[in-house]
Amino acid sequence: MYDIINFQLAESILPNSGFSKILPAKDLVFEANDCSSALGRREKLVYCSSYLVDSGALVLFKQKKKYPVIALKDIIETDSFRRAHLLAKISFFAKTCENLRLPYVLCTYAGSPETHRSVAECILIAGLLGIEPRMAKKAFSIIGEII
Amino acid sequence: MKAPDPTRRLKKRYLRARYIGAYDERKLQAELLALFGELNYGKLYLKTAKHDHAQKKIVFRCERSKAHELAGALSLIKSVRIIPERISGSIKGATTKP
Repeated sequence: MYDIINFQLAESILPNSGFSKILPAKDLVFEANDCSSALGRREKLVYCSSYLVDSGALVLFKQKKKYPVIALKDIIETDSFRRAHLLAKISFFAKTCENLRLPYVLCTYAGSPETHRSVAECILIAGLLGIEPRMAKKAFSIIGEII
Repeated sequence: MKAPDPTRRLKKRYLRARYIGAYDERKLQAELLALFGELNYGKLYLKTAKHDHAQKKIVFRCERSKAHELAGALSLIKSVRIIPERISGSIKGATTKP
């Protein structure tokens, strides 16, 4: 299973986390506010921080073999109303991707070692989003097929 | 008084977790309450079954169907870093098994 992080990798993280490989987000993931603005980009992984469900753009993602990224740091780092809002948004986003049969990438996208979580914890957090453990494991391993 | 039907008893699960940092039960309860909401927090039937201060390990009791939700929620706690380790049907299983 693979993870994408957004900070300088510390050697101590890898053996404890259960991930086989931890990749830096730089040059791998395109960060956009909405999915449609990432259609012209060359990066295969797209992180839409707003999690707005644009079915048209997601269908084009499937055609262009692009993969949306669901970052668990959004839930880990936020709290109260913002977290509740994001839980609903990400849950709906993941469900739409599943309905469209569009594979998505799950990762922590952690900005610091404190917000990084192990595989087991990530699968449990994905469970809160309504993502089944089988789907979560698939979403964590799909990066290996892409890169 | 007639004893309640045994099938209507509370179906429990025990969740063992280790923590890093200073553990404050009040803060933990407040964060879980914020995450689950009053209604769902009540349905958790959450209770601290065992607390080993020396090893920094804690065993929570909760309702069976909510055990995985609780484990996920504990990973999101900010006041103290809690790492869920095992879910078991008995305290013995939760504490002794690796």
